[in-house]
Amino acid sequence: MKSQLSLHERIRNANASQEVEKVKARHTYLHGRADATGEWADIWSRDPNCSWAHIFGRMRGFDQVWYGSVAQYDKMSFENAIELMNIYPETAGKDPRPLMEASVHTLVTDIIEVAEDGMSARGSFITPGVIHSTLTTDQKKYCNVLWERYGSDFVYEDGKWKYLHEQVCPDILSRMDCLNWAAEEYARITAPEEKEAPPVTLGEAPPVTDPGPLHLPYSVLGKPQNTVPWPEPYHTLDDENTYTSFVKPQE
Amino acid sequence: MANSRQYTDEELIQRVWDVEEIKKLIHKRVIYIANEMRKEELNDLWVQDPEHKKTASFGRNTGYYTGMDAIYDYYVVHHQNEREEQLKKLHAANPAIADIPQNLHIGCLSSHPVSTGLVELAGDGKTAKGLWYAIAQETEAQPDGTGKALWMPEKIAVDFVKENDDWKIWHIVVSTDLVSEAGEDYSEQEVYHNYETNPVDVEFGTPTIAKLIHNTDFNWWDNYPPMPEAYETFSDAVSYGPEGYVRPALYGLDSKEGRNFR
Amino acid sequence: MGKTYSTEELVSRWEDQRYMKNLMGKYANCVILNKEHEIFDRFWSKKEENLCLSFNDGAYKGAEAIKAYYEAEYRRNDLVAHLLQKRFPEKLGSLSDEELYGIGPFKVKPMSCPIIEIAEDHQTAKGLWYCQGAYNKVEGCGPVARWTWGYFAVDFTYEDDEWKIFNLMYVNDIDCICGQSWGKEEKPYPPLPEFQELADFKYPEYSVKKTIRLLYAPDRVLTKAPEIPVPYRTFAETFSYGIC
Repeated sequence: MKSQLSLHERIRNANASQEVEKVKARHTYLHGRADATGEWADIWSRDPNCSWAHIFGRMRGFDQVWYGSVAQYDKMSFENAIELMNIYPETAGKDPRPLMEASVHTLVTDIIEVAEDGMSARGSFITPGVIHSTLTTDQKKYCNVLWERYGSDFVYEDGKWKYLHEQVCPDILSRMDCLNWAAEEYARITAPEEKEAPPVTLGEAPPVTDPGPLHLPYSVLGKPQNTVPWPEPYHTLDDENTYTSFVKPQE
Repeated sequence: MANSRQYTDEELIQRVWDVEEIKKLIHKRVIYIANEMRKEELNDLWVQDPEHKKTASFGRNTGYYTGMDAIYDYYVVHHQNEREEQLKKLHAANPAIADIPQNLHIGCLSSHPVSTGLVELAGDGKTAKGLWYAIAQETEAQPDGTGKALWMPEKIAVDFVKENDDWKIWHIVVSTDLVSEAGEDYSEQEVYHNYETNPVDVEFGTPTIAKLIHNTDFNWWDNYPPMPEAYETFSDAVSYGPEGYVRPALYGLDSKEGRNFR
Repeated sequence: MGKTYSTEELVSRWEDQRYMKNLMGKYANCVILNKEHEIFDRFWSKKEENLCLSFNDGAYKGAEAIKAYYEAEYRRNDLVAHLLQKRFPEKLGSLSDEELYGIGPFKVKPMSCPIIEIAEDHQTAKGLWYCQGAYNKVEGCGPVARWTWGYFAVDFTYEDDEWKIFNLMYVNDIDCICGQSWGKEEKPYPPLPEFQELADFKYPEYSVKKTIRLLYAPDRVLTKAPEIPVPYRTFAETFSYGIC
């Protein structure tokens, strides 16, 4: 554990470790209100290497990430709101984004490493989450249980810590609290006609640069994936220490 | 106002430790709650300075208890009374459960483990604000021999103040998003929040300042309690106490309104 | 309030507690990946003699007993994978043992609410975590998911410039089938013939068989959490998470 860094560098990195925890938590609370603008305008790097990945693929570059994560996400909430206002007129005039749902991806089991050069940080997290909404277009409230894992890279830019890469790895999806995600999965695969597993994302997948699937959710017939391995101590963010390679795959 | 100070190394590591101590304090609260140590919690983890005690507050979706006396009456005395009543009912239904102090809280389990901590320490280092999320549960034994187990995901927003080198809880808002019985389908509940029957609201009673500060019908639209932002020094404007509550501008209509034209 | 630390000591102690949080995170990740057999070598002390790993109903004491427990988890995971291979030969039949291992169980034991105290003498530390988990070990009824609510309580020792575990207590209040209430009688899923071999699987006998913590029941008296770590000078002056 003995560090080669100077006292000043160690203190800088201790502070950095807390700052990236804050960036990650801010993501959770902004996402809980579907405030995609707040998230991508404020806590993300505009570095051309920024990326956001899910099962369906990886968006690369800020513009593609913005389109998929803000424009398309907002669009879903606006489409939902148009229907919702007919059923629940009291929703008219309110920001439609949080009315879509509260998607709360909590953060636990953080493993965080700050680069020796102090310019980046990496973290893996487990996120046992709840996704709920009260006023919905089918007039039934819902609460889904969604457990995922995150692999996140952060960079220090202009005096602030920002996201550079995020990879979201959904594992378990269930309903509060009437389903059994393992028993149902087994029933699905042993049924006379095997049905497809339910999707774990809202709406259609946005355009991506790296096609999916980039992670496989829990399946009885699969191994738990190690898509976002925990970070190890490292000197600087590079292709050996990143959740997203810095090179696009060959076409 | 955001905190834009520059700190020396000594100041910075002290600030880092302050944040860790604050998180530890809230983590200890999780254990105190599990241990039914509410009186000890108020004594060990909450403000002790008389001026801070006067302005302490405990908020939930339907208002705030203000001042440590009112908080104590709600959080300790009322809770104790409820549990004593419950024990009497359990004993009446099953005399094998003796109505004795050692059996207080029998068949009860309170778990409010926190996650997703976001702590902002004031620039002046004297106060801090934090927000956490807890996928909580509360279970209480029933006279029929079962336990009624309720999931209750919630936001927990806290103001802290440093008293004699120790961090203390000053204002807290525990904002429950929903209540769902374990083993039941949440979607089968009536859609609109029912303040008469919701167990969290019933338990909270009529607080010192009774007002709806978070309406769960609109998910997180009203953004209360909000994320803490970086700040230089504490003021009412940033407080998680009632003085800091701001109703959303352009609230529009409330739940169930807007149908009179039909 | 105890010792006052220099700037250098403060940052070292901050790094220590970050290391321990990371360690327990890695522990949880090994469990997710069905790599329990790697846990002892990675995270446990090699120098302390009186190691202890305890659960609700007993404790393993000493390195051999603790290693045997983690190896048993490996064997059980392996057995589950082979039973699934037998049941689904068209999907898994062609897989080697190595390719097969890890299929089936999925156990998520997240760590939250850390309370860590490092001794003034820097030789030991104590940590308490809350663990709100979800897991499917695959049982005699086949895959079935369970919620767990409990605690990890850990004593660490500083050896060879690293923190290592020497006592670990993992106890639960709730271990309940998902979709059912832990306040009501459990309704087990019916046994399935393809998983009957699991009924014969045995974990190693505990070194100390005793009830350390009862699961929640409507008639369970108030059962307090494992003790909260408090600042301490040296291990002899604080309590242990080990079991006698």
